[in-house]
Amino acid sequence: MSNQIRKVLDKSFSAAAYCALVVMSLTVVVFLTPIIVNGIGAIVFKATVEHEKFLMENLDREYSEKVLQRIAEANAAREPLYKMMRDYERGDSAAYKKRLDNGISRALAHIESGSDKIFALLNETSAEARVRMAAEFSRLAWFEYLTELDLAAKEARASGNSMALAKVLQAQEDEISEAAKAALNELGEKKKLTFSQKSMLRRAFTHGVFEELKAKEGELHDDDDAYIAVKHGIEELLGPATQGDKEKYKLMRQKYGQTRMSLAEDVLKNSILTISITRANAEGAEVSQRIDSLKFFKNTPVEKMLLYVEDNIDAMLRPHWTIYWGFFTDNPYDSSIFGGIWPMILGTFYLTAGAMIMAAPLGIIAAIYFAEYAKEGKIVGILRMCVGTLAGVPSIVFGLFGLTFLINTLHVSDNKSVLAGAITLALLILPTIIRSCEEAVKAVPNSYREAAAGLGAGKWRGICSVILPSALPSMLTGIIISMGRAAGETAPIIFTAATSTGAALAVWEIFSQPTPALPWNIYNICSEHEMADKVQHVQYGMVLTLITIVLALNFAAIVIRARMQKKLKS
Amino acid sequence: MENQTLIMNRQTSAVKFKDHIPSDPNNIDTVVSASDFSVYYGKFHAVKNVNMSFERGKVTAIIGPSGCGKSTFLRCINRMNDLVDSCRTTGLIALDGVNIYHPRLDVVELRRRVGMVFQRPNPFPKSIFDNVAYGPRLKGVHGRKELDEIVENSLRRAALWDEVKDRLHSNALGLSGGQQQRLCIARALAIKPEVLLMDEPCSALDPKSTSRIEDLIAELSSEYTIAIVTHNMQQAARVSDFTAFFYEGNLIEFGETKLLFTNPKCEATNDYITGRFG
Repeated sequence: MSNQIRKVLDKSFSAAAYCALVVMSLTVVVFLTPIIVNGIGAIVFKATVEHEKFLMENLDREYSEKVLQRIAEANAAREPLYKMMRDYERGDSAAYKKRLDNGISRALAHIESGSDKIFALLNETSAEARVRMAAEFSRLAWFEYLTELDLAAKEARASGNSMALAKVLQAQEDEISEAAKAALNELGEKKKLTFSQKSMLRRAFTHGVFEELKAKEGELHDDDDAYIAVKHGIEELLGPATQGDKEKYKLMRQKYGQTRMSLAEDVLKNSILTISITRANAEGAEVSQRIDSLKFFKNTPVEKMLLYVEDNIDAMLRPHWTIYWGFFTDNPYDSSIFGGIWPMILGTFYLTAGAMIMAAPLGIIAAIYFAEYAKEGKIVGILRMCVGTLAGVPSIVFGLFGLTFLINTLHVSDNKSVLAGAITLALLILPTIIRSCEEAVKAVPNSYREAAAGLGAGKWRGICSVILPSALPSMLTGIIISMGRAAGETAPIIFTAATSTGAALAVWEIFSQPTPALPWNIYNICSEHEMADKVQHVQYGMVLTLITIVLALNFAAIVIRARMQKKLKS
Repeated sequence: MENQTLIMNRQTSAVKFKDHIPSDPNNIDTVVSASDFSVYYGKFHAVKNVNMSFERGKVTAIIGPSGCGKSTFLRCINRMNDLVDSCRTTGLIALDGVNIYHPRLDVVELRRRVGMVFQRPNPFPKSIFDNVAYGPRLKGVHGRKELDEIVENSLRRAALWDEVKDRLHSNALGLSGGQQQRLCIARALAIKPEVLLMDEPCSALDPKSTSRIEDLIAELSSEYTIAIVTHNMQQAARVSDFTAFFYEGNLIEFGETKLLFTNPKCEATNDYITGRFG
């Protein structure tokens, strides 16, 4: 090979290595940046007064005059909105009722007098005739009532009384149909109609009048539904308007508005300025539709409310930057929508520590056995194979094993418990610990063994006084890295230890109680949570915490190794 | 029974090596003697029927080309070969008349009486003090004063005291190669052995350190019985009273160093010491 080619080859190898490095570091950056940025967002964020209210009322935090004043100011800013809402909802229905009642009696009178034309139509039997009859029916008989209804609806919308009118209509629906039935029956008797002619007449009423009445009522109800949706949005944003409303609700999320400004803006955009209402489509099926509420409520009092909310959201929530260290030390409330992740952190700690307490001594002893005592033979070969196989078993299988063997067969606890989870995790990491510790023991120079033996140390003394201390740094590295793995494993604790909600456990409870733990709760809160969008900050916060724990452990391993090696060397 | 064997053993060795032993037979004081001693590594016959003895207070050098079994033989004297799984021995080695391969013999006690210094300096990754105190502590000496005394004495005898007295508690791995080897000697001396085995103690050292170790050996020879394996014939000539020449597992020639180097009896010895092979 010529010198030239060799040089090119050397360079291409370095180039490939650099490429791999760049790709890896980019991946790390792309992967870690959003986690770090969003994770920090769980602790440092723009909080609203609702956040402070929550902390004061539920976690007994003391707050300064300044905060109390801020809350008072926010309440003052909300008052005009609540007044608008109260005015809108009060809506007077008596006038409409009177007008429409009038309409009914006039229409019935018309049916009495103008029934001849209708009767003529009844003798035809074609479908087309029926349609014409229905049109005639409403034109002649119910025309005035329907006009009245139209006018009333327009008026009601303009003054924001759709709800009141809809209530009247709902009450009248039965009334009209009762009255109409009676009138039509009477008519039929008078004109001596056959049974089929009577039923045709009834159908004409249904097609011509009742449908229109229903449609009008539906429209009014749409108004009503839309307003209710807006009202819900406002409650979601600001919390219940009164103390009474607050007590009515059970869930924490219904008792407080948005604690984070970013979420508050989402609510404003997605639950107030656009809303979804259920409407009947052409086929009569109910479908949910998203509508622009400002457009929908154009020229109504609701429009004013919407504009007020849009313009005064800052005044009503008083957003300000805050650092919430309680994220690490507070219990979660209402499915983690409020509060922190303390039980998960503690649970992870219990599980990891428990696993290490069991696995580390066992692993070290087994490693010493394999490296120092075991004579290579059939049984040791089988043992080694077992360790190797165990290291390759998928972690979910360990989880199932923990459930079926530890809990169902051995009954280490009645149900899931930290103890069962810790044992499962210990079994999971045991092979790794054995292997890394065995490597560490084997890496101790043979000359140490000889020197110890030469000075009259028995095997055991030699191991304790020379080999273990020398192997300790690499052993610790392996053990700490396994610890990181135990902290991050999800599958083994699903069946044995993890629960999605729960308070922080006291030490004596770990033998019988399950615990929340970071890895499992990350999964849970990302995929099983009913409001996963609302707790994104918690998701990222948990991921960041877990990554920090694992990276800190790995970093500790590196530092310990470096320091102890330095100490051993000079 | 055992005593009888040992007595016999003494006689045979005395008879066998009569030619090589200094003039007055009454002065003979054998500490270690091997008779018909063989070592096998698996099927490989590494040391073949060796008969030789080590005299009290003398330095005995074992020379020979690489792979001739000299280190193996030396290690058998304090049963370091036990650490090698495939190793098997036949024949006898006696220490002060006691068969060291007797099944009931306490190996730990044997190794306390027969100290060893290895080819490469192998101090423990501990402080200088802890290195020297390692052996005494194993024997159960824990008194601070006593240990201080033993450490100082051992280091003085290994001619290392002046160099390290100010940093007894710093790590031994920070010492130079020569110092480390002297530390290993001090460590071996701290348990007050009767016999000191040295397995090419200077092969990993520079000439200056080598000469210091050689001086040390000369000083120690008044108190200890020393067996030293070396590649370096000049070294053997300089430090030893007796020399044994091993070749392919056989003891070819054994005798007073001066005689062996000036007037070898065997052709092979002659060839080796004149550099014809090796």
